[in-house]
Amino acid sequence: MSEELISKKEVLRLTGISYGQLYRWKRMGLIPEAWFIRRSTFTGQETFFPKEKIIKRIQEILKLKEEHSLEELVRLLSPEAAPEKVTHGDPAAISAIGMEGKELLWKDGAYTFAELVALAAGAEALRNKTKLHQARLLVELLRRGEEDLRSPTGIYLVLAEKALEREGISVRISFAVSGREPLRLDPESKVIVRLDLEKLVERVKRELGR
Amino acid sequence: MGFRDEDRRESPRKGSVSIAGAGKVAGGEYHTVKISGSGRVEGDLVAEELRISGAGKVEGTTKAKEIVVSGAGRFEGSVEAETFQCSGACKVEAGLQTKEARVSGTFKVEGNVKAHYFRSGGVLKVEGDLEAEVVSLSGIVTVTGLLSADRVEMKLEGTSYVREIGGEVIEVRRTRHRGLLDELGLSFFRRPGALQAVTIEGDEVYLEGTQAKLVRGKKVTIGPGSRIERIEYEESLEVDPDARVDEEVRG
Repeated sequence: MSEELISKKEVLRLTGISYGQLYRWKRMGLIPEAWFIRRSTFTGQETFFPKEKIIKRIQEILKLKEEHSLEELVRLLSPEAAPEKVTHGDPAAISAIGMEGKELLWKDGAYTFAELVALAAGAEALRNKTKLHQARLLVELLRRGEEDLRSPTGIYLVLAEKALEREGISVRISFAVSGREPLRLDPESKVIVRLDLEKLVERVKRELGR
Repeated sequence: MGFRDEDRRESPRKGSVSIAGAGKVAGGEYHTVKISGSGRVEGDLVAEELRISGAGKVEGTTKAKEIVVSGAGRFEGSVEAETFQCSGACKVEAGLQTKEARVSGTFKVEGNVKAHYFRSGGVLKVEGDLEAEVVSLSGIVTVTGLLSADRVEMKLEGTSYVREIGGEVIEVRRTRHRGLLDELGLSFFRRPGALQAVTIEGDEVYLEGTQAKLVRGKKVTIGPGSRIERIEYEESLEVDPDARVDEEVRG
């Protein structure tokens, strides 16, 4: 948590970018909302950024923007800002999904970013020895959850099961939930897998960027 | 939701529905929804076209190619549309996302507005951020969050408030031509337009009638009627004799 912060003016001075560029990139999601940190100072409210992250991101944008449109840059650098615009033909080639995830695929190609993250969650569950139908619950839960993907910080996914016994018949029920911590389940439910959505998003993103 | 499932199975074309007089329709997918008179959509709506003249309400989210409201429109969920037009009184209660928005009369949004082009005349209130490539506003404006665009143009009438403005070119002017109040025969109440803001940041900034705590920019021009507590500029600063700046810092 003790990241070094840098003021907006310093960012502009160090990188040579303009106000127009900074605000434009923020609007496009190239610079995540979460990096704009407001602090009060003696001159009033001031915006700060995590120094290492913002400088690195701006250098990447400046380097890549010669050859790519800004829309392409969003796909390359922050797919979570436009999860519907990313498509990938071969999810199994992404190691976060891998061979385990192959069983979870449901179409031939054109997987969106949200769907890739969903597959990664399912694959991670399978690696934790869940059954296929349980892993599919996670995939179904996530593949349409584009809103959560845009700001995944603090969101967790839980795959759980519980047994119900009624009149001598015993049924096992599996279910998947997502939400911000603390996520609490009733004491009879057993958590099988708990995943950090932010970490999943980061993993898939890193591999896409290669 | 379940509405018209059977109809759809029979014909692949999506149905259209029109309310004239008073009525309601279930949410669902339609080609065109027209409300003239008074009507409401119960649930989420997906349509190519939504036209409201009179009073209309959508009690869920709205996704449409084209939305045209004249009269009164109320959207209880979020709105996504390629083009959004409203004249009269409109309220969006959970954010608006659109390519092009043209609104006049009174328009209120709870939540953020994201657009490519946003134009408003009359009374605008955004309880959140307003972001677009080009924003052109005239009349009385309230934005409780950030107003951000490559180009921000404001023509002031009455008292406006925007917490933060950021972008490339920012131009705030007081209107000179006849405005809303004159049209209504109320020019007696007319005072020069004013804008209150906390911070304004841009590469080229021109401000008339603006009160702000902090203005930052490359080229800054402070026009008549402005009062700025602190200016930080890089290349140039001009201040009109009829403006007051408490503190200026270069670099």
